[in-house]
Amino acid sequence: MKNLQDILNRIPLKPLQKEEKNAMRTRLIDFMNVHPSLSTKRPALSSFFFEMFSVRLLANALPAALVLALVVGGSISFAAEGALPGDLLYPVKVSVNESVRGAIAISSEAKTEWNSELIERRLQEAEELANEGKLDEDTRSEIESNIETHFADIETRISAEGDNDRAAEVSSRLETALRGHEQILLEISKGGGKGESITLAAKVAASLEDVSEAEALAQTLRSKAEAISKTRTEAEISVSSRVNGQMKKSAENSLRSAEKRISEARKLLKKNKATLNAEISAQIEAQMQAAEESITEGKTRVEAEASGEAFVLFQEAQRLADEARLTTRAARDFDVRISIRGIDISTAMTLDAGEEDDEEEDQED
Amino acid sequence: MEKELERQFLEAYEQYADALFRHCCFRISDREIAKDLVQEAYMKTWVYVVEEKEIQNIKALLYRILNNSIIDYFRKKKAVSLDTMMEDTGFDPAEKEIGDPETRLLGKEVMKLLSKLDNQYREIITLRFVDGLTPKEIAEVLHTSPNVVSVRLHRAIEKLRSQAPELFSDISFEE
Repeated sequence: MKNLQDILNRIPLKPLQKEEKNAMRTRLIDFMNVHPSLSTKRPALSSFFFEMFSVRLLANALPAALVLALVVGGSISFAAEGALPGDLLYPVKVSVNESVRGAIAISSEAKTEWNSELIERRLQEAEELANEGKLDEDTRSEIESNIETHFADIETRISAEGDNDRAAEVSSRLETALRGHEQILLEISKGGGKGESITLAAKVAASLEDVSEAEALAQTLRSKAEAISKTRTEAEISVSSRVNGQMKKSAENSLRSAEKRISEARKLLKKNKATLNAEISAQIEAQMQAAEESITEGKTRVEAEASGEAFVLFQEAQRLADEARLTTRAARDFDVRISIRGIDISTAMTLDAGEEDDEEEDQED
Repeated sequence: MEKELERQFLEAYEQYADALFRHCCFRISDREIAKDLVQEAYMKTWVYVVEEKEIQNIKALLYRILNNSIIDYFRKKKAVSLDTMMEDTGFDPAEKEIGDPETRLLGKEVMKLLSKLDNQYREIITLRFVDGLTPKEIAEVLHTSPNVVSVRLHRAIEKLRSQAPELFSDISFEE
């Protein structure tokens, strides 16, 4: 007499193949890393299902093009953009949004741009975490090592490209960004940020713990900024010591970039003017003005056939515009006031912006 | 402690993934989706484990979560005939033929009949006769009592039998 169990056992359904089982295991491990057992975050039941729509699962069930369309164009990826390390959607932000955008960047130039953007993104995350009192050592080291990687990639590309114009521009922007973020982190760690409305004592206690993390990161940024500053200076020197004919083109390109940056900074300021207080607005205005003056100055140099000097001035204008932008964002997002090179409002207004600026000014140029 | 939990869990993966996969294949017609459901079940179980910080009877937990996933899947999708599965994705033509031709034919027949059962009956027959779970284990998986399981199992067997009495006349349902 046959046994049902036997009969069913003998039915030759194709079992999990070794590669299949391993692939699934890898995905499982990835998933487990996002939900470590020591995590204090307890995912709510509803967010449970959120993770279930994560791309890895989608990618198995749907054709790749559809997944891309769903996720990139869809609300999941959009919602993920604001995610911070530790959030449920953070893997979507990094493994989906960022890898899609990274894949789109094909030329070496584009990749350098993208790497710079990635550094920005990591730093913003660090700042938001620090602002909420949630920047712990692990997250900080992770962010740091990510930045290291992107930084190294940028440096490699710059030297491989051998294009001094690009090197000058990229390293200049990076330097400004690093210095700006360093300032932001330091300000946040001093407890100057807008946190949740918790008691002052709690805030101080929380910030004391994070002070080390935010400060440590700021330190790293400072040394990186110094490193790239050298690259930038060398590149600028190479460019500006060229024969005038070639120089003219470089100067023109630099002028275009500078004008673009200035207009972006203006737009940002305009958009956020309402939320900024008077002093900060004035400070940013002063930065913008300085940038524009640099451009005007540069233009006269071009006319005087001193394109090398013009180039340097346009570079300066770019830096000032970038600073203005960072200052705006720091004020808007974290309610902190930064000043990278001591571009201060007129002496008529009395403010305490002086202290940090002096140190910075000594280090500049 | 956390490494230990991870390690135990991955062991549970190695140990049960194949059986869970086979269980899935018996109930749905798509091999790829079966893989997804198993993957999903492990992930959901992991989240559960992390909450509870321990693993107690992971086998029952996995089956339960998998079962729920399968039910959800059916809710979203019309049941597809088992014939399709046998022809397309589930069956392994390469696999060495097990047993005699008569048994194989019988297997196909039984599969067809199984597919005609209600989801609840198909579920319990699969758990009992494919996965080899005891009524007590099934009770844990289905979140019910062993008595309810026995009764339902009995009814399922009857239903199955009644579909083709001659076929089942010389098939035993015991272990």
